[in-house]
Amino acid sequence: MINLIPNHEKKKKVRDFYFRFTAVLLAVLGFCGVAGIVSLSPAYFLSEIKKNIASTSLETQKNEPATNEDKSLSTAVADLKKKLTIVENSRKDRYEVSRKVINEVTLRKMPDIKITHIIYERDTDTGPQVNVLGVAPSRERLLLFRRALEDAGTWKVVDLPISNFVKGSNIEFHLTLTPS
Amino acid sequence: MLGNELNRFLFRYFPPPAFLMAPSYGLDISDQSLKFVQLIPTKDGIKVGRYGERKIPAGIIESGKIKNLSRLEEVLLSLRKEGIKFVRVSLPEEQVYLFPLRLDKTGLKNVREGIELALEEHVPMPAAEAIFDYDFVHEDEKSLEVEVAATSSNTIENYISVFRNCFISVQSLELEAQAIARAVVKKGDPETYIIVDFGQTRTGIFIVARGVVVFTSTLDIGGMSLNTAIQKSFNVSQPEAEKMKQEYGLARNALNKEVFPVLLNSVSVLRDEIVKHFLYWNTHKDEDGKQRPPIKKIILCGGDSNLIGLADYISQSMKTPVEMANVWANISDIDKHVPEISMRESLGFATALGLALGDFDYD
Repeated sequence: MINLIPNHEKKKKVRDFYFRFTAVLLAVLGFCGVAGIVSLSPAYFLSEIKKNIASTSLETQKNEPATNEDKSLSTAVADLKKKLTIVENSRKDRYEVSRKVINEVTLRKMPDIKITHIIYERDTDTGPQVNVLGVAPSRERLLLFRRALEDAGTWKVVDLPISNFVKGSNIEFHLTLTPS
Repeated sequence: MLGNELNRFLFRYFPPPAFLMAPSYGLDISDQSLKFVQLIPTKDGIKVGRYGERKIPAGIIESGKIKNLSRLEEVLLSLRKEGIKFVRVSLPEEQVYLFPLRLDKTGLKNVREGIELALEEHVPMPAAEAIFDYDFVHEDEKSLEVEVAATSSNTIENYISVFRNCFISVQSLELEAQAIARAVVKKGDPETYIIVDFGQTRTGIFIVARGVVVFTSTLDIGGMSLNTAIQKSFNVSQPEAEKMKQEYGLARNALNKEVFPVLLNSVSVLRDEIVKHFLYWNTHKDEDGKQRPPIKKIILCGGDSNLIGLADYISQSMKTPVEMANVWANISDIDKHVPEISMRESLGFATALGLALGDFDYD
């Protein structure tokens, strides 16, 4: 189509178009923003009112004097809490005789050594101790068993009194193990 | 093709806002009147919005040149107050040079530069003072053929400034013939026609081939000159002469024995001019030595083309089909929809309708 408008006027028309386009775009975005605010404002105000009601109610409850029932309940809860704290503290330093301890002893022993008793002791002076009683076929086997327990690293002290070596065979021994 | 369909679908169901589209009015400015038409896209096709005509007092525009800027601004300001912001304006043929130009593709980097170099060979003004635009007509491997329209920058600046002062934005300044062709020749029609725009003070004769205006000529004969002839012959006032012209025209009957020969003198001059161009086109070969496509018919439009018997007179004397223009050819189907403007009145709005059609699918 032949259009005899000068070139600078044509360029101006293109600029005008983009100006109008920007104006329309901003108007649409503005309208969307306003529509969003208008549509969300009732929900916002409603939630704000509910929040205020809840806060007021909470404040009121806090300021109200406690009833006898509440007092006794609070006392019972505090007592229970105290007891639970004591139980938890007593369990903290307790040495647990578990399968792990028994395994540490039985797995280190030779097949020809028989364990007859494993006794757990807890003394306030010496601390937890494990006494192992059994029968060893010879002194050498008993010494070997003692070394095996020492090498395990689980025990701080492996005490085998010299009196255990009086007999030469079928020695009834008594080992005292102190956990590390 | 698919893109066009998609565009139509989007345009129909998601039309952009009017503010962005800047819908323009077709504004046909002649020496004596100013006609405007608004076309509105609807779901059912294009409809006519507002339309009207304002008289321009004598002496403001003469032969398409603005002689009195301030008084024309007064007329345009009245339109601006009515809400007309964007317009597509026609330029009268007298102010525009139209010529075909063949450009060799060898060494051609820019079509505009190529035209600018050849411009002074075709128009009597320096290229620096001219404003021009072009339409592609034909292209082959070696060259391309363009139809160039050029006018002086002073004329354009006058038109632009008068609209600028009235705060009306001019979307396009087009050749009047081009606007008329867009309205009356069906889009895509490859045939060649002569369009005769029989106006009040002058008559434009255009040749349109493949939808492109390839030749224009203007005659100083119009409805007013017929009125003047009747006034002189029967010593009547101008309104009475207009009434006699409308009533009798060129009808050959017993009642019209006196008016017929008076009008025939002027109309025969018009007929001779049409015959001259018709014969020249059909008998002369083009610049490449090829036979021009034959003119299929003559299309009449313009406010005074309703003259009784005019079409029959030209048709019989030239032995060529002559028909009244259908200015709705590219706007709506008149078999399904009755246009808002009557057929008789619409002939005078051909230019304005063609200009307004520039907003639709033609850019």
